[in-house]
Amino acid sequence: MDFIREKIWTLRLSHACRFSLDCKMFGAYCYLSEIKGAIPLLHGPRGCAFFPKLVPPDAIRTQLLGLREPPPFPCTDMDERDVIYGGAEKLRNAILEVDRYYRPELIGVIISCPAAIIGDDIREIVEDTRKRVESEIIYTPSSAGFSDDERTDDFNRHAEDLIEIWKDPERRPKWGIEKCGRLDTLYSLIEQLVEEPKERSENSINIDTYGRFHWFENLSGEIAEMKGILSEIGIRVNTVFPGCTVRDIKGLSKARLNFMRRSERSAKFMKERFGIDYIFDLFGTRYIGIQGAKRFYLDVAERFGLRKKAEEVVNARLDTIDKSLQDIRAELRRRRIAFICTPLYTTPKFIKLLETLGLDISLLIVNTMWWRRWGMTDGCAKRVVDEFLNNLRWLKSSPKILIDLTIEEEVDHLREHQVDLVIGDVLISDLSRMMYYENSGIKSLSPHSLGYSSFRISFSQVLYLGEMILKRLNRPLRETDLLYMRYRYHPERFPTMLSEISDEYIWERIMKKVWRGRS
Amino acid sequence: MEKTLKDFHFVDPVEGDKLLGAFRAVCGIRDVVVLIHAPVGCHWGVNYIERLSSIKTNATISALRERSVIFGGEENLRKSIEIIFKRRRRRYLILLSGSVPTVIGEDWRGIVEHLDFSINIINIDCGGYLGKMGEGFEEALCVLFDWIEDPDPEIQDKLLSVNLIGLQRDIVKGRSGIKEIKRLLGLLGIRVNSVFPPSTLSEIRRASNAKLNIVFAYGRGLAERMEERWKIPYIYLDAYPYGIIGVEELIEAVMDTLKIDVLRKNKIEREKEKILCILKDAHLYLPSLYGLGVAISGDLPHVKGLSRFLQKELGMEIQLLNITSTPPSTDISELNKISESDISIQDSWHRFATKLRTKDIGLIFGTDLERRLSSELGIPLILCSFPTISRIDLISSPYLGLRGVIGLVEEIVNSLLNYG
Repeated sequence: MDFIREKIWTLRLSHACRFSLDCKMFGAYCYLSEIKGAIPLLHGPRGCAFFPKLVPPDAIRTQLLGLREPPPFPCTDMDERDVIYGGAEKLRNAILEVDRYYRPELIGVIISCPAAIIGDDIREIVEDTRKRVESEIIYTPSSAGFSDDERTDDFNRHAEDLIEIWKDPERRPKWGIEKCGRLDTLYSLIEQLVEEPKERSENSINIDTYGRFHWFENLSGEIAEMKGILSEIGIRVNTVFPGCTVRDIKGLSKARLNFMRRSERSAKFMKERFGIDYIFDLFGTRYIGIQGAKRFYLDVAERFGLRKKAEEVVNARLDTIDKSLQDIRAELRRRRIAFICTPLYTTPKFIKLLETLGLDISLLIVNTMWWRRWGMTDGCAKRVVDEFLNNLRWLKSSPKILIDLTIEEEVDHLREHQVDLVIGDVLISDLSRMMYYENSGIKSLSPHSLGYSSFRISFSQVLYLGEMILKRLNRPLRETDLLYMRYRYHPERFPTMLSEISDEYIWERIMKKVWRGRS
Repeated sequence: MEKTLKDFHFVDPVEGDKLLGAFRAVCGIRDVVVLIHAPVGCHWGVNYIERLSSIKTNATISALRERSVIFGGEENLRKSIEIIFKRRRRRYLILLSGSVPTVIGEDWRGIVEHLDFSINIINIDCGGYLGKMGEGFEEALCVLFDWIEDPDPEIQDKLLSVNLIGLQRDIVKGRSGIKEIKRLLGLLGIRVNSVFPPSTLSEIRRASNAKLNIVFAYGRGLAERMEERWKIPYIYLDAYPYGIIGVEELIEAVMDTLKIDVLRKNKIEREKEKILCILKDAHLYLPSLYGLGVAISGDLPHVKGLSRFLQKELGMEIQLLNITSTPPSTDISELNKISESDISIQDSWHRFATKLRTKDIGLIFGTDLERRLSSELGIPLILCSFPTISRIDLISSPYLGLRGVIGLVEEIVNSLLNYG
């Protein structure tokens, strides 16, 4: 039941968010919603605090906190008078009243556009009220909706970052995503809430997790596996954040090591303030697949001088996985697949993983349209593809490689190659694509839509992937004549309906030329 | 003494702000583009709700950024308008200026004057701090007046037609409710000329061909301007026509104003009999509804119309009313007369929830905000007022009008039968 509900959430969200983008204020709300006992309080008009409650709770809230509803979102209900005379008093009183009514463990004050423009001194107000409330209190200084985040940056820079990391996993990203509203809030939490440790917990680690609307991913499974293996090695997980309590955030400083996946700024802060070393893996590309997961545990253990023990534990785990995979490999051996992907989102390592499962990749269709529609230049897209293919030279299969086909052309090639299965990993609309291929008589699988993520550090996820592929191969293809396919779609932009195409063009132009463009 | 809203220092909002209200009124008009002049998030929130309310939004954003706050967002506005209209022949734009341009004081007129092409534009200042949802909805309906053309005397003389103003399409059963009212008026020989909020530009243009405007709570300003300009009278109903009594109120008012022959009402009477005949299948359940404690949460015309139907025609006991939004002209003190029950008016959601927990409620009529309470307290919820994004309706089975009596009774009985 949860799976269906979350699938519907995903489809609804992607429908409702087409031709629109959220802002940093919403990111701040989401991050605070991932901390148990926290209440976000908006200093702003009621409209900004109205719609977030209508968005389904994010995946960290549902999976790690077990909460099925988003948190309330009280606000100061800023009006014209406040914009003219200032809203400081209103915010001060709201903090006191939110504290009394909700009795939260933490109040997170979020700043809206008008509050930021008129320059209410939020810091002063928060400091002033701190001693008068029972809850902890933090504020997010740059959560106004107009504040720039990483999405306004030149898209090509991020592509360059990723290409460099493909080449050398140790390479630091130049740009990063530190301006994201969620990461700003993480930084605020760490800067304003983490306490000096009374005692340090030996051999302990904090693990940063992510996946706001990734309901389809097994976030909790990844964390459970990590905790189990680290414990066997002799490393205790101090806190997984977010998806934790306010007390857990305060106690982050007890750990000896941070494993950070999004914000290096926060990691650096904790290193400077509390001397906690860190491992940083921004794009989740360092630890993909079985070998990646192994390296993760060895890297972590190395920091605690436990490498030898880690090797024992991980090798034992690998033996178990390998035995389970043997049967799967035997059945998958030489089964011909086509893989359709969007590079950057799909890494070369993931393709290698498919091959290690025994599959013969006979057709590789690379799709860069989505990136280009989002502002990547043609030159950069070409470089991404070149580097991507360059990183695939070691493939044992010798797939025919095709670039940027329409979905109709894809189906023609899939038929011609007589593949047993097409696996799709194109970032968006994977379920719709799966329907398209299967309606055309070709078995299809979208691992991502069914709970697998190559970016999760996990041995069991690899096993799950293998089982999923095998199951799909063994299940017969039903003959269908789907209603869904009776609509007219744009062939290059499936599943955009022809009736929506002009909206899509306008939206993309505005994003490229107005939002990211230089005014 | 009971505290009033102003005595509280925070609000967990039950409604959006002026921008959402205006957006709701104008975002689904074919051939008219809505441009929200604001940062991306302002568009995201309102677009999210409307798209999930089955509205094909025809809207985009000028995507203001940090630099716009410092240097102004005029360039964003100019570029956005050019991108939207460069290749169009019909150029109708509704500009909704959000908090950022209204605080920093931008001049959109200067931009429009210097475009290479001409454009029909309506601007509404919609900073979130400038008003509530009802105000935005009302103002947006009112300014559409600018695009109404003079009447075509031939059409006006030939047809007995009316405009329906203030009915909402972006709620569950919204479209079928409009269809039902059109059907009922059709039985009297009256055609519906235009509906506001409109779904096409031509509905706006031809609005002056009507002989009467029927205002359902929202849009009085528009009706007044049309009366002043073209002498089109209007009738004002502050409750939607739920139930037989609601329909009678509407029909009487229309017949009186348009001086329609009483004999024409026979068709309505026959229709009522048909409805009662169909309702016989639910006859056995009606006693179980008598005295059932009910809470209603929604905007004013829904709450007024529904509470009248549930209380007077089904005998339910309205224990709690939560009015989430109202037209700006509403006299709040008058609202306390709706019912003897406990009433919250545009109050914080948490206070409504607190009250609801203390009452003996068997059924909630409300919005998506009540979903959480419904599952927490194990009380069935019937969605009826904005926002209703967690339900789709494809078949025309209204809650309004005579057919709405069947629709509502069916929904109520099935909700109670199948809950828990």
